[in-house]
Amino acid sequence: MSEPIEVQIRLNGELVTLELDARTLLVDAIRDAARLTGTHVGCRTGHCGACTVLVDGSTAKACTVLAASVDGAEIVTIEGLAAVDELHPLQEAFWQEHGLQCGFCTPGMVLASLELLRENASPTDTEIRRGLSGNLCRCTGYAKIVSAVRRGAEAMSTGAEPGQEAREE
Amino acid sequence: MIAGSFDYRRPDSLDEALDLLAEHGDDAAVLSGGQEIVPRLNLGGEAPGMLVDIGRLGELARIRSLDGLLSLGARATHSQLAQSSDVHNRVGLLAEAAGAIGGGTQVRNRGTVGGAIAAANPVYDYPACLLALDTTVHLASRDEHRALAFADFVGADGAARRADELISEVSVQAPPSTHGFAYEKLTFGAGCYLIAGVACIVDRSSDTSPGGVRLAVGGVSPGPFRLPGVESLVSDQELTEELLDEAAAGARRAPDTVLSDALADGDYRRRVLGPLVKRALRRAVGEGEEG
Repeated sequence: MSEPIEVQIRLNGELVTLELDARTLLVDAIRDAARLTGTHVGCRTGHCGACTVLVDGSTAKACTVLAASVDGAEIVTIEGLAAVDELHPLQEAFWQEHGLQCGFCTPGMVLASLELLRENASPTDTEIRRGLSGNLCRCTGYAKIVSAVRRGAEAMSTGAEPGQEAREE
Repeated sequence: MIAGSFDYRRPDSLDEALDLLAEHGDDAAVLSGGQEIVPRLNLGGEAPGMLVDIGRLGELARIRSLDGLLSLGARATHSQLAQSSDVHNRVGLLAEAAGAIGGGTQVRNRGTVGGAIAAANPVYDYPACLLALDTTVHLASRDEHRALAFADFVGADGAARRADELISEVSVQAPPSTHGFAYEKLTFGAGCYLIAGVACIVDRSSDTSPGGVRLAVGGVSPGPFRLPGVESLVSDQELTEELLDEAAAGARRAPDTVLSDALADGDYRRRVLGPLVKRALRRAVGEGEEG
């Protein structure tokens, strides 16, 4: 058995120290140790993208990352996008456009979209589809998801993005 | 949590990592971006006794442009390759292939060039591209440093990395500025592994006929391979429809052994190779470009 190790991460802006078995995946550390269950576990093989989080600003599938490997990193999960009781403009756009059915893939879809829109503020539908190619929606509600990202892009280009401000402070 | 137990180490220096591999190599696995090994461990496959996480070795994550060489640290990610202006401007073929690696941005953000070639998975994108280019793989161990041509590093039997070695760097000779390139692949969907992929480099200094054509194939056989017969057939020739048809037929006949999996059987892979070779040649010579 491996000795428990100490992993310190900044999780949605808050410094968190976790005692973990070295075999713990980042997604399990987030859900079970830090009790943030917005990040979903779909496949544990890196295929579905439901566990997408931001690691130091870039998306990662948290089931393919050992928690120990990101010691010292800044992690943002879906809970970190907006204040409690508020929605990020991109979340609002998913709501408005019915960009979710069962909702299981949604946290990953939103975070993958956020990274896409930070790099490309007004993507074409093809670019949106390519940007979300690492995320599966088993309800197959892709058309509405693409509309949601398009609407989110418009909303974000007209207003300030709360998530970004929080990071720059 | 991963079921199998292992001793986790995250060395602070290359020397420390090489010492660990020298002592425990036979029972150790290297963790770089984790996109290959972590899903495998999750599935409950045999766990190594030790996992050596090289994530702190910052010097292995650099991309440098030196004279005619592009040096890719083994830990450089697919996203780094796709976004680096040096890679773009000097070895555009690699930037194109890295940016199209399946699994999404998340996978490209973490997966590394060293990890991908160490896996020697025939359905990955780099092997065909690195074989078409002049590529050297640098392997470090406690006692020596080896530099292998890519063709000697990877073949049908897998990668030539010894258990005590770490891939430190992949260096690629930048082709002349007059070159054209294309990477054409067929996959079942954006997240899927290769059915077949063709990397093509040509010299475009002549207006009418491409010189020094290089064609390399991935996804079709247990190891990547060049198409020397087709290369000499089309080099310094005008790419007429007849010649392209002949090239496609030659490509189809070339592989000795063909892979067969759930996505495509061997005959299918052979049949799609011809059209991919044609597309790659057409695009590499600039057909369809304006002006």
